[in-house]
Amino acid sequence: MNILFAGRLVDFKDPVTFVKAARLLSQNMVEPAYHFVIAGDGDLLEECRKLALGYKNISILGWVKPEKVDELMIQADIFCQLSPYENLWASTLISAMKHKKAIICTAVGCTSTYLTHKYHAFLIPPSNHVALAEAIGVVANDSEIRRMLGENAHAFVQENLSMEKIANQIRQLLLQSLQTRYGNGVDRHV
Amino acid sequence: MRIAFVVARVGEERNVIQRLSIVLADELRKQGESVDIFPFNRKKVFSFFSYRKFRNYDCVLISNVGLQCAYYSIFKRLGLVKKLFVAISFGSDIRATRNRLINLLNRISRSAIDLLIVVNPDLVAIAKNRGYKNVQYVHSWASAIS
Repeated sequence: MNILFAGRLVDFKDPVTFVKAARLLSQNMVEPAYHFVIAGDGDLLEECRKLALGYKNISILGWVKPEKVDELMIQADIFCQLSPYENLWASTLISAMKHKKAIICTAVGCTSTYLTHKYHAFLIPPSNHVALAEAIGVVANDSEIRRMLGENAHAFVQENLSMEKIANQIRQLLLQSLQTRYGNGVDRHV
Repeated sequence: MRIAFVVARVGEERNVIQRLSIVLADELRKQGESVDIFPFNRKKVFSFFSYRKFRNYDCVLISNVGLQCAYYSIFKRLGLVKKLFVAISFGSDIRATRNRLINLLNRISRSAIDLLIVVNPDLVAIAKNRGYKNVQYVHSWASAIS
């Protein structure tokens, strides 16, 4: 079972909680059932490396190319997004949704406005490695919940986060602003 | 609509914002708009007349309220650029309220920006607290790069 954390290793993303949960789930296990992968660079890289020292099933890769992130995303069974402040719309979160991954993320900021607990993602309290470890246990042991979370998250991306739709929205905002500024019939090129 | 799109750090693989900006430009072109990318780097700060290139455009779209935004905002505030000024904020440029550089760049840019587009819902309140008057939220299009 591959569990992935991808993103900048900074307080805003809270990778430390991920490593602590990984340690908790790996203790007293001869053959750990989970493989934890952290991809990303940042101020907390060294702290994460120290915490993961001695745990063979925790891989800390540092910064990897976007293509590698995609590869890791494909291999992952569960993706974790753990900001104590805001998860929307991290590009890695959207990528995980697009790849139909089961997502565990913190219920902070506007996250729960858009993502429903146990429907699009498994929502947990922030900075709580025990809650994260429990959530990983629940999601990892239930293939049906993983499939359902992945499907629903993917459908959300298809419905709401399409490039075409959003670019058109931006285009309309620009056109409206131009119209407000110059009105109809005024030559805005002057 | 002719759009001058100012994007910093073009070509830097690690920078997600420039990738998002380029795919947005491509999509806007597909939808019939004319979009030219104006790459920005720190050396540009010394090209004092680079703002003149905006003459042939309807609006100036700037990716991120960073140095590039503050730089062209000065020309706008001086009345040298009169075009519609729109900035897109991805978060890191306005969120850190204790970062002096970010606060300074925002203070310079704020009054020049006619519309601030934010891609995270929490940024609406943050931007308004910073004094931006016209703030609009759109979903992130990061699915296009993953």
